[in-house]
Amino acid sequence: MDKTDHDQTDPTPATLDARGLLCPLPVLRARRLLQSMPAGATLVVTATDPTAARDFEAFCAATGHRLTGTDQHDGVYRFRIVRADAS
Amino acid sequence: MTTALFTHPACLDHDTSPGHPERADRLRAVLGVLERETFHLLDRQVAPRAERAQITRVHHPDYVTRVFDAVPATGYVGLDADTIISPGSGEAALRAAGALCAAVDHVFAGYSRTAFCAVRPPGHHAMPGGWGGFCLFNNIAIGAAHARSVHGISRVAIIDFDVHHGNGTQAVCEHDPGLFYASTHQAPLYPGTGERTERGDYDNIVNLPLRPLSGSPEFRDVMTRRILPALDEFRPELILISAGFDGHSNDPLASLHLVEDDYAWATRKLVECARTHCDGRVISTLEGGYNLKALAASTAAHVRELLCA
Repeated sequence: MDKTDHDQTDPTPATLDARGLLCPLPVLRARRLLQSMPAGATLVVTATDPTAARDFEAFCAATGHRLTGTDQHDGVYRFRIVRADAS
Repeated sequence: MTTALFTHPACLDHDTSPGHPERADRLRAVLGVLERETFHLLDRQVAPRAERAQITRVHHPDYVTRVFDAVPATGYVGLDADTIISPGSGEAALRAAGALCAAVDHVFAGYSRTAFCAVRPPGHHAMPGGWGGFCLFNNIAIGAAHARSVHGISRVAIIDFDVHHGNGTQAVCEHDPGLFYASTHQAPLYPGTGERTERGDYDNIVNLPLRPLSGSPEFRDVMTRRILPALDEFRPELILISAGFDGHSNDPLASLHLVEDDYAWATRKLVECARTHCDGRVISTLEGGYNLKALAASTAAHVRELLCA
C-alpha cells in the first residue's frame, strides 16, 4: 500500500511514534500534537494498531487535516498528516 | 464518532449496607478506569431521571409505587435477602433507568453510535412486578421499550453476558416478538432460571447456561454458534448489552473463568453485528461484577471496543 501524494514536502516534519499503542491512543496523541503545530505543518505518525489506517482517515475527514500519505511496511503504518488552516 | 457515557453521582448514593457486594465502590472503580487517557474522548453525559411513564412501559404502576414507598428516610430496608435499599436508592434507580432512555435518545439522534451506562442499581433481575437480585427497575428493558415507543423501531435485541441469568429481562421479552433476549450465564447459580428449553413464545429467547469452571472456549463457542447466528436472523434495529462482568475468573460470586479479552471479543462481535443490521447502534449498561480490579479492567476492555471496534 502506497498512496503518497506529491504534497508540499516539509523538510523537517514533526514525528509521533505511536507503535504499540491501541486505538484510540494514536489518534488522540496525534490530535494533541497537531493542535500545537502551525497550519500547513506536517506530522508523520508511525503506528502498529491495524485499525489506525481507518481511524486516521476518519480523524482527518472530521477535522479537516489532510492525510497526504499512508504506507505500511512490515506491520508498521506511516501516516503523513498536514495540519489544517484552523481548528 | 465517539461513544457516549451516561452516569450520575446519585448512583453512588444507593447504599446497600456494609459488606454488601453490590456497593458504590464498584461504580467508583468503573468511573475511575474510564478517566484513563484511552477514554478522554468519551462524550460524558449526565443521566436524567426516568419519567414514571417510561418505567411503567415495563413495570406495573402499583409496583413502581411500592418501590418508592419502601425507600426509608433513614437506615436500611431489606426488600428481600439480597436487595437492600436506603434513602438514596429511589433517586439512584430513577437515574439508572433514565440513563438507558437518554442513551437511546442520544444514539437515535445520531450524536454517537454507541453508549455505555455506568449505573447502579443493576436491573436484569427486576420483574415487571417484583424486585430481586439487587435490582429494582429493569433498566435495559425500560431502554428497549423507550426505543420502540419513541423512535419507531420494532425489533430490539438484548444480549446479557452477566454470569447470572437475567430472569427479569427474559420475563419482559418472552411473550413479545419484537424483543430478542440471549444470555450466557453460569448454571447452577442464582436465580436458577435460564435453561436451554426456555425459548420464548417466538423462539426469541436464547439461553446458554455454562457449567461452573467454564471459560473462554465455552463462552466463545456458544456466542459464535448460537447467539450471533440467532441475532443475525432476528435483524435487530438496536442492540442492547447487559454488561455484567461477574463471569470474570476473579469474581467472588461465581465460578466461570472469563478474562478481559473475552469481553472485548464479545463486544467486537456485537458491534460488527450492529454495523450489519442497525448502523452500528449499541447501548450497553452495567449489571454485575464484584471484584473491583476485574470489574475495572473488564469494563475498560468492553468500552474500548465500543469506542474503537
